[in-house]
Amino acid sequence: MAGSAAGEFDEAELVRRAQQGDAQAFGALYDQHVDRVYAYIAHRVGNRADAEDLTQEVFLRALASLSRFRWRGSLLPWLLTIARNLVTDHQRRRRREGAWPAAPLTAPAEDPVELAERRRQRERLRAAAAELTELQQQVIALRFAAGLSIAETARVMGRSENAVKNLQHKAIAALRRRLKGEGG
Amino acid sequence: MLRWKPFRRDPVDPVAHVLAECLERIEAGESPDEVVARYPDLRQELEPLLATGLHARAVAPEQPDPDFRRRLRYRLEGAVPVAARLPRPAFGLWRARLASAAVTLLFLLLVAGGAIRVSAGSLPDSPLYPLKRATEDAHLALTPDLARRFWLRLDFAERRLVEAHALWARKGVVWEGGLLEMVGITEAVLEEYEVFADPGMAEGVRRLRALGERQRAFLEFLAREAPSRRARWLAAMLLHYTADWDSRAKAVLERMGSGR
Repeated sequence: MAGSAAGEFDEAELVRRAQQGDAQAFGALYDQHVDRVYAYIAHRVGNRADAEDLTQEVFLRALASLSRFRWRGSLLPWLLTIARNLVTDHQRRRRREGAWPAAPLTAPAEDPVELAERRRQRERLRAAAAELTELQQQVIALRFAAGLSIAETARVMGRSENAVKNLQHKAIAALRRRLKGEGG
Repeated sequence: MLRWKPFRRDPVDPVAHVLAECLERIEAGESPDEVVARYPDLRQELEPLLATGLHARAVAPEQPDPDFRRRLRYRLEGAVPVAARLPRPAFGLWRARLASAAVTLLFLLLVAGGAIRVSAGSLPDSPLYPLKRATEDAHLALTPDLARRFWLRLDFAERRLVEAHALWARKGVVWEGGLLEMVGITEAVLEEYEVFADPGMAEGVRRLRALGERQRAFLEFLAREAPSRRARWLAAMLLHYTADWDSRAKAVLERMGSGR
C-alpha cells in the first residue's frame, strides 16, 4: 500500500508539524490511519471495548514518542508496530487472567441485514484465524484487516519479505482448510 | 521499535511468491481472472488460495464506531501541546551546554568554592540553585571518560527526581521543568547506552533501569494525584514516553552479554 510520492511528502510534512506541537497536523495523521489501526486491533482482540482501549493507547503512545520517530516513508507501519506489541501484551495478560467475555464488535450504521451477514462472516473468519499460529495470525491481521503491503508487513514483523510471503501462503492455506472443514 | 534483518535471506516458496504477487496485483486493481491467467500451470493451486485471501480482505476490516473515533480525536488534539514539550534526543544541545559550562568553570573554581558546598542541597526555588546547576555542568565538562559521564548524567537525573519529589512533598508544587529534564536526561543516556552497548557500562544500565522505575513510580503518582489537569496530563504523557525504557534497557544488557 505504498502511497504516491506527493502523499508521502504530505505525510512527512504532517509528521514534522505534529512533532512541533501542531494539533491539527496530528489530527490529520490520526484521521488517515485510525481506521486501519483499529481494524488490525479489532481483528486480533475480537471485542469492541478492548479494541477501543488499545487503539487509544496506540495513539497516546505514538504521540508521546513522536519526537523519537524517524521518517521512513510512512507512519502506518510504526503505528502498527506499537499496536502489535500492545496486542501481544494484552493477550498475554488475558491468558494469565483467564478467558474474556466476547462482547460483539459493531460497525457504522448500514443495512441491518447486510451488517449482520458481514458480522457473521467476520466472526467466522476470526474464529478460523484464531486457530492459526501466532505469526500466521499476525500476517492475516496486517495484510487483510489493516491492508498493509507485503513490504510494510515485513517491516512491522521485523522479517524479510520472503518470510512474510511464505507465512502468508501457509496462513491462507490453513485458513482455507479451517473454513472448509467448518462447512462454510 | 522496528527491527530489520537486512542480511538474512529467506528462501521463498515459488507458489508463495506467485500468490503474493497475484494478491498485490488484485489490490492494485487487476481482476482475479487476469491475474490467474498469467500462471496457467498454477491455476488449480492458486484459485482457491486467492479466493480465501480475497474473502479475508473483504470481511476482515472492522470500522471503529464514529463516536469513539471523534472522541479520541478530540482527546488527542488536546494532548498534542503537552506531548510537544516532551524531550527530544538532542546530543548537539548537550555539546553546546558543555562548551558554555567550560567557560564558567574557571569562575566557579576560583571564586565560588564555599557557596558551591552550600548550594549542593538547594531546591529549584532557592537563590543558590543556579549555582548548583552551574556546578553540575562544570563537573560534566571536567569528566572526559564516557562511562563516567553517563553515570554523572544519571546522578543529575536522580537529583531532578529528588528535587521534584521534595518540592511536591514540602509545597505541593509539581515542578514540570524538572520532570521533563529528568526524563530527557535518562532517555538521552539510554540512547547512548544503546549506541555503545559496551559491557563495561552494564552497571550504568542496571542503575538506569532502577532509576527509571523510580521515576515512573513518581510519575504514576502525579498522573493520579497532581492538582492541575495540565500536570496530570504531563505526567501521563511522560509515562507513555518512558513506557519502553525497561525493555530497551533489558535489550541493551542482553547485547552486552549481561543478561538481566
